[in-house]
Amino acid sequence: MIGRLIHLQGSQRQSLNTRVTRQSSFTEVVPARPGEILDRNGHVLAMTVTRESLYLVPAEIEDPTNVVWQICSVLNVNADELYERLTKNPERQFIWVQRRLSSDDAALIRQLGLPERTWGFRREYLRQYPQGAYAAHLLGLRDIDNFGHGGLEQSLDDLIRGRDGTRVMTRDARGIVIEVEAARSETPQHGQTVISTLDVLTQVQSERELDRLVHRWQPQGATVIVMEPHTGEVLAMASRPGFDPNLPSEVPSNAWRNLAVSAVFEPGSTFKPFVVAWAIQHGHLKPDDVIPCFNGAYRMGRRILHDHHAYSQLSVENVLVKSSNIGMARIGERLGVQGLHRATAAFGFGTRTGIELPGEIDGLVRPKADWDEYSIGSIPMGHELAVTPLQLITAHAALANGGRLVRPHLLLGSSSDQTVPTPLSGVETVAATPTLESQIVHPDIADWLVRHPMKGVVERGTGKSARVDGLSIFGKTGTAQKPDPETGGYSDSKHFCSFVCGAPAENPQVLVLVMVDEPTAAGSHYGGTVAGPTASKILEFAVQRLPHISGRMTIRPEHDLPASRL
Amino acid sequence: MVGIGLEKQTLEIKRSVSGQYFQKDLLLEMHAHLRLKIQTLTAPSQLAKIDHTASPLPLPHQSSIASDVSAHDTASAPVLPLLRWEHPVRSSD
Repeated sequence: MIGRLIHLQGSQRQSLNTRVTRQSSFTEVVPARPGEILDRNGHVLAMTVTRESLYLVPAEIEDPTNVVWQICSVLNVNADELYERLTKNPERQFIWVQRRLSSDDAALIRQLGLPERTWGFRREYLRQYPQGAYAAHLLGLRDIDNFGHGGLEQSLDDLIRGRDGTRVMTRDARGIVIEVEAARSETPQHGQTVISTLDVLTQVQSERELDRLVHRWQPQGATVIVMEPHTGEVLAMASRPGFDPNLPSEVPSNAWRNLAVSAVFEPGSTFKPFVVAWAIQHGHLKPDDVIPCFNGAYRMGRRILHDHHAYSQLSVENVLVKSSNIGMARIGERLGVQGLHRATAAFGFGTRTGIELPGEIDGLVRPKADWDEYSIGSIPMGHELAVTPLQLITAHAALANGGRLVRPHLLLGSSSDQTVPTPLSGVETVAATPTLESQIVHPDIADWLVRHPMKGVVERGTGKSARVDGLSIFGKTGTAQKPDPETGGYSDSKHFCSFVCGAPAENPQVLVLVMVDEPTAAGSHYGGTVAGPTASKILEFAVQRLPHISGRMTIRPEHDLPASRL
Repeated sequence: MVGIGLEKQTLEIKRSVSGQYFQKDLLLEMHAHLRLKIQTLTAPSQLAKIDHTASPLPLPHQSSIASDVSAHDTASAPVLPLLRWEHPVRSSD
């Protein structure tokens, strides 16, 4: 006996200690709760709740047939598959049956009265999007393993997801937990809350109008962006086709793409104001200049440019109001390749804006060495380059805000007066990245362009369909032919239609861009007719929302979150 | 004997503390469920429907949102295991 005791305490001490620790102590992961995503007024766009996930213990199941039959009478589970998994792994201690059950399904499972030890629930987080399909492309979604895909869920994944903790526990011989070893456990770092610049009401209205547009014109795709031009805050952004992030398994394959940042198109006439602004800024043009337009046909090198209507000459203002290609080509000649290329770069084309969204692309601006005489005629009317809708509205924001190019963003600045999340004081929020800006044209030039030519576009030019009584709107239409891969040239029947507008013209507060990719329904496919009415309706709504958008952020008490954290 | 008594008392207090943490977790979850329900019912899309139709308050039609804590859950809340952890030998029911 003494010898045996010495043997156990001496030579086998280490191995037995290890064995006891292994049998009695175990570690479980304590998942971090993903942070919420809120709009600027505290409406929840994404949040996390728990659901119960059902598992079975094959090693304890004596009658697999009965268990499978009972479970399948309640849950939509493939009975054959479940039976096979049970019978093929009879020694296993754990297999998932179905994860994240609804409360009702979990209650039904409990009522089955399955034998003890053969089954159990584990609680898992489930991401929910209370606004349904609205803002889906901006939010993205979170998969079953809590990884973000698309939108803010992906770009801010590290911050929203948090960091899982661990809990080390000791159990007795019957497997019952008798102690949590706090010293060896690690508290989970829950995800941070994101306060976005979105205004949900503007978002909902924008998407509804976009849906009406899609229903009317049957395009391949469409997108809308609403922006506050002075700060670059995105108030709404939507893309079609869309999806419901609450139903990830039903997302169409073509709906994942956020056209606002990942589609490129030739901007057409919406590009013209930038060329004019740059030409005036650098002394190549004066606002009161008169441009000869050669009665609608102008030979430029090896090609002849045409206008929709014949003009002998036009003022600079009317070149934009009437959207004269010849007038723009003449201005392009004054700038030359060098000036045009600089203008393109200065307004941010060819480089990503840096918005907090994945999948943003640079657009297509060829190297200056590849530009030639042909480019001098094409670039001023928005051809030979491709831009993303976000790049385009960002450049127009520079005209609307007095000539400053600001970085568009989706995170509300935490130092802003609008962010006073007192009830959320216990919740850590994601800090917004600093806004960079640069003065690219003189404020007087930008103001003149907005208050005269671009306002004239809506009052008496190609954007008349966007007029709203009592609202001083400025804007610019754009209609560009799509490249036809079959002919290698431009298609006569496929167009990109766009319209960018803002209000009030005297002090722009909101900008709206609507871009429509290849409308197929019958009708004239001009930017003014296809995109104009939708843009002006959204703009009208957004202007009415201005007091709620620019005012101090308030969060109702029911939007409070508990301040305590694990 | 005193030592064993103290050990038992310590263990009991630890259990009590763990139980309270667990209760706090449950309350947080309940809060989250109710918050989700509030947000779903007061979503601008729902309010806009009311505004447009000017009809009595419609039932929320957001089938894609998973149902929240049901009356059944609160009425017959199951005996929940310690620390949200469920071992096969102590299944929740």
